[in-house]
Amino acid sequence: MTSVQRLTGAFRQGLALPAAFDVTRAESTSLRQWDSVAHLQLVVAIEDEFHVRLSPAELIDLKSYPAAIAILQRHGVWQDA
Amino acid sequence: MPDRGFLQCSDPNPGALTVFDGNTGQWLTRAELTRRVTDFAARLEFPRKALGFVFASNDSESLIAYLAALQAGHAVAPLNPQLDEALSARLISLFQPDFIAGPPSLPREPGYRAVESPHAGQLLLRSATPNRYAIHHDLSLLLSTSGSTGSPKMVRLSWRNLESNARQIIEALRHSSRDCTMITAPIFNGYGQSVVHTMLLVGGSFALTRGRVVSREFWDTARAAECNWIGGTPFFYQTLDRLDLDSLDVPRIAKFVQTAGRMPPYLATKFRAIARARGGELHLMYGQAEATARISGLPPELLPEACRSIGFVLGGGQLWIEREGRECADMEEGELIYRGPNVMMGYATCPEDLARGDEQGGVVATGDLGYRDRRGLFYITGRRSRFVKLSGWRVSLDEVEQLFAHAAPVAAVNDGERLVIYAERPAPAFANDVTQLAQRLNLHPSFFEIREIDSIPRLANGKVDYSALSGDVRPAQTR
Repeated sequence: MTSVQRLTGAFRQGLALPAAFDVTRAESTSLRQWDSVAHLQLVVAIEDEFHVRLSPAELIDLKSYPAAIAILQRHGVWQDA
Repeated sequence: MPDRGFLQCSDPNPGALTVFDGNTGQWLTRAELTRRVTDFAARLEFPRKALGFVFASNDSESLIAYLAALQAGHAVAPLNPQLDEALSARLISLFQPDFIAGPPSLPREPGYRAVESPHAGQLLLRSATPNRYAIHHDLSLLLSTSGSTGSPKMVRLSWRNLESNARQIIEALRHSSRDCTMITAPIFNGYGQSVVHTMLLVGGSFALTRGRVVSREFWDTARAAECNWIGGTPFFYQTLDRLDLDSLDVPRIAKFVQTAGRMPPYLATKFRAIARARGGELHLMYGQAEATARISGLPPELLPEACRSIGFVLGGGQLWIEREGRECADMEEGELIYRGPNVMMGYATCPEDLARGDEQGGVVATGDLGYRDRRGLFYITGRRSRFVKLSGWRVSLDEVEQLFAHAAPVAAVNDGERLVIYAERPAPAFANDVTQLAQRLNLHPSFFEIREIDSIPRLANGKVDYSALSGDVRPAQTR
């Protein structure tokens, strides 16, 4: 699986989004489902998928799909397709 | 009528900074808040006592609308502004509120006209006189408990309930007018309201933001307001644990309060140590909407040793354990019964109920099972009633069962912070139901778990044997 597939899967699982939802557009401020509980679920889903541990600052920075990519790049676990 | 309202019943310094709205970065002084609430209340003039729905976000506009409805002497139901549209339409057509306050995005309701609102929010007035009985003169607040499931069951609270419970909490938490807190829960729910009430009554201050706990805005707000204490649910503390308090740069926060559900002992121990390192303390509290908000609290001195206890009953209240109608001895398990000035008037499930007076006589059976030890400390061991608390919302297990029963026999039980549905079919058969239920409740699907089981255990009379499934009711010796 590509990094993109793994991350979109983690977003769908973590934020409980339907398969048809374009997760690359998910924004914490506008997406109703993205509450505090979903946020921690998303963190866990990303951590499990990419075998990383997000720092407190990264938890707060995780506000969108592009933000997640930036965090995973910093951890050196993101592979461009 | 208008000697109600938390701004009326204490006399602090009018220039005191009282509410910090993190969304705008503005402080409201006590005098400014009072003026804006009074202005709003002046729009709420009706020929008789009215019912208001306030769709409240965590911002000063919603707060003012809520306080104004109380101050004007009306009955108010604070509601989630993100409530499913069909659900809120159903509640509106059932209860026919005289006025509805909400965010600018509030959909226009048929039968309502928008009037000029004193601030950015919307104010809708009912065009025709509602076709319902008069509202009881004592009724102040309608608290939706399982309201998120679409069941319109609300707790009816009087002004006396609100004020007395706020005083009990102030005493237990040793609050003073120097205290400032950050609101961590929605102000449309009972816990968020109780924090608002207590801080206004004690003449202290608080900060609020629409930003979530996991956001920079939230902690920027707490820092800017120089909050010195914070309270929240066990989930809030789990989140805080991941966020690492020291990295959030809120060094003044030293007093911590935990409420609405049981904190795992490891977290209680951890946050007690954090509080003490900051020269403060950790309070554990217990309560329910039927008692306005809080019933008991554990004095910080008894931690960590008594971290499994819900503490002593609050001042002015009595708590005891009952079994089959008689009071239990120490260490004997039964149901917790509470008597106090903060016990609700009763429930409301239909508009006719709003006319009813006090039906409880100051006593409520909590539905929680537990015992009292020889020092008078109370412990909870399980639930008697068929409700679970998920993320602060009360969900009826029976309603969930009805929803899932179309595909196979099911039995829903409480498993700590989750709801487990035992089903005589594999989980995928219920995937749609879980999605729908989670959406309707506004909860994450991870709160629900389907466990396949060959056959649901039943008692001789054919009813589900829940004790065989849940195992969450433990005998008293599990201390």
